[in-house]
Amino acid sequence: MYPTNFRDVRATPRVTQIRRAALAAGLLVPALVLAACSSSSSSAGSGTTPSGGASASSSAGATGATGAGVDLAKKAVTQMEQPPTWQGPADTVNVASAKGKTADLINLTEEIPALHEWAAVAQAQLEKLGVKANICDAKGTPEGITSCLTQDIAARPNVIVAMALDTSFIHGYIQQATAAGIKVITAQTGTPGVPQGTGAVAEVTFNYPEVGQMLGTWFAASSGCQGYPQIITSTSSRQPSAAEVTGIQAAVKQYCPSASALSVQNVLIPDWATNLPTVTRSLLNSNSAIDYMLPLYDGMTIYMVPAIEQLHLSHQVQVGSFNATPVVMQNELAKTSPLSADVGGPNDWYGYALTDEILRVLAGAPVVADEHVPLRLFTRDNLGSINLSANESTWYGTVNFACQYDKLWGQACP
Amino acid sequence: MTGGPDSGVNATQETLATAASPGPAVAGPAARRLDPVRLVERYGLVLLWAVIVVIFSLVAPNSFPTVSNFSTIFGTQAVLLVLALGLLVSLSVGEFDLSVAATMGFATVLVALLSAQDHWPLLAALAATIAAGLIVGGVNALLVVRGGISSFVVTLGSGTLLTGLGYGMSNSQTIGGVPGGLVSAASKQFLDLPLAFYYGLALCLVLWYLFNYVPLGRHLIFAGEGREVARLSGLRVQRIRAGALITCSVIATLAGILQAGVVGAADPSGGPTFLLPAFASAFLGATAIRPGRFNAWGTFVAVYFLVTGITGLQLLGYTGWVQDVWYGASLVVAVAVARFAAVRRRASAGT
Repeated sequence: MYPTNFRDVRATPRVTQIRRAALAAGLLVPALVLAACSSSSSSAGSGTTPSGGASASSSAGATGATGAGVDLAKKAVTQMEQPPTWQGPADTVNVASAKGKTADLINLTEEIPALHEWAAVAQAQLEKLGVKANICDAKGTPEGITSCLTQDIAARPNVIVAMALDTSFIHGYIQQATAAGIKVITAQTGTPGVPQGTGAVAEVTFNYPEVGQMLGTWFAASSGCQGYPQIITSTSSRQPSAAEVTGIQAAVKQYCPSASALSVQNVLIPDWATNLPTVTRSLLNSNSAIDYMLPLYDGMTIYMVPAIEQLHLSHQVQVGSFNATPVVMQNELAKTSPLSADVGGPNDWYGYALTDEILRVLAGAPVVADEHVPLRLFTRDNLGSINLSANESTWYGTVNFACQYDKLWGQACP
Repeated sequence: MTGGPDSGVNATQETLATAASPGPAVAGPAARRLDPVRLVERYGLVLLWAVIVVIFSLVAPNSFPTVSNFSTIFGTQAVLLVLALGLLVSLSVGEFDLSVAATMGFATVLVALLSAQDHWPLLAALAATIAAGLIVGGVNALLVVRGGISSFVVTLGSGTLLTGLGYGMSNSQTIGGVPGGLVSAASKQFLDLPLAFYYGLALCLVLWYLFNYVPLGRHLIFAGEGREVARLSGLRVQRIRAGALITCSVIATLAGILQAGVVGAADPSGGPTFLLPAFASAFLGATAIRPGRFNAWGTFVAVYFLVTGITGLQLLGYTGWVQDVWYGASLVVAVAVARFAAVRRRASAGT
């Protein structure tokens, strides 16, 4: 039994024309917005792309093989699959000059394992050498970044390391720090080399253009320049992503000269879980020529691979990506899966490289333009040479990078 | 009793609840007359869905009106459908569960952790995960109903807590190796659609039946629309509210389990991103089929209306920011239309 006011209330004939019009307008607004979006699609891209979507798809793709280019690409891939050798710095550092000084590391977020590990390794090495090292977790938010920067500038350390922070966002803070006599090192902004125009004195990063170059080369070799690649970027990580995309495009142009511009789509990190499955399927539905997908980070593949499999395209579409994240390597590359190539870099090695640059700046020594943290391409051809269950730092060959750095720092090599 | 001291949050909640609450329960003779305005109200979203399907079919004739694309539209967002359906249970009693997406994410991590890393038997892992969902819902209900604290505040806190726990338990890493049994149960295809879609459809049927043909369903609605009147009518409003919050959490947990099966892995950052789409779907759904009331089929239509729009835009080359714009705009329009419908109905009732 229900109360009497719990009843149907129907529209009466007194509903005015104005109300009808308002209701209709309310329902049609989304349709109009949609129509407006649709009409602009021919002139707009995805925001980050040289060309985007269906209109771009018709002119993109890497067709027109050149045998010589493909052969070169295959040779390059064989080389990329080999374990890296030591190409790090040769000049030693007077660690005694760095002792007692302070380095503050501002980490974009401690929640990303690689970022956490880089900072943790650097902190442990610095403290072992008598340098005070603090980590500030910016929690991946603009507020966190500004809070860490403000706090650290006020604390007057000798060095601030901005880890994975967008230099255009923190430019003003770098100037403030420099004015206060604090040296700033940027990290993981994409391209190795002494930073120009940012105010920072050094940069330590994986070589993202080279990552892209490796993926583009793998595509050329694997497809014989006959495939159709689709890049999926994530501009939430703006600088490294842009560098990686540039690298892919450069390699495809180098090995497949007659290829036209590659199509790029953008899916922001917060949208990976909700958006990547539909983006993947929509791309494959809209362009059946796509047979290679190049998501910039392999965390994206956990959402893309099921979508490819649901379309029964596991054997037609190959995926290449970056990070060589253990769980992705173990569950996708090591099994029957569209993921066929994953470029990786050793996290512990990077932590040592970062430590080395910090020590050089603290000691007043010339900085190293490129620490040459290695990269390796993993495919099913060389997967058997590594132990996927072992720590990922063992996947990069037998170079004892810790020993190499200890020698540079005047320490006994264990 | 609305729970806790009145605040801006409560006021907002009441405004939205008002916008979504008044609705028909028993059709009178006059209602059976064909009223075009009422038809548009009830089926406007369905009509709009058809309109955008036509528009996209015209704009992208080679890629949009294809079996494969409709399989994409219906096959990729089953988890969102289940989550939005869970949310409508709590919204029906006037409670906002902002922890629903975090609960889902937490459940994804937990079931993957127990089954893949700790090698629990799958059934035991599923039982433990559902039990965790019961506990989350129980704690939410205790604080909201017994503690008299706004559900907005409680679930905001518990959602943040669960997100942090998910990161902690997984060491911020993706957990792979979800057992094949769970993957098959979610991803195996029937008529070109994954089984996950049919689970969402089945849940939709269950909730539709509950809200329309079972006294408990009517009690839920009544408790949401007029808490004090419901109490005076003899309904155990507190129990109903608590039950709705617990049910919402358990369904969110099921959505999390489904997500682990669909993806085959657990990403600790994946859950919270479903919050806006779930709310947008539930509110947009309240403007359809039973306008002004959260309802199962309205939610179904809303989820796939939103996905159709996003998929169509993706086919035209729009990704990235488009999804947020589409969901956000739909949420605003949905609440505005629901509010308009409520005002119109009240005005009609007063004349």
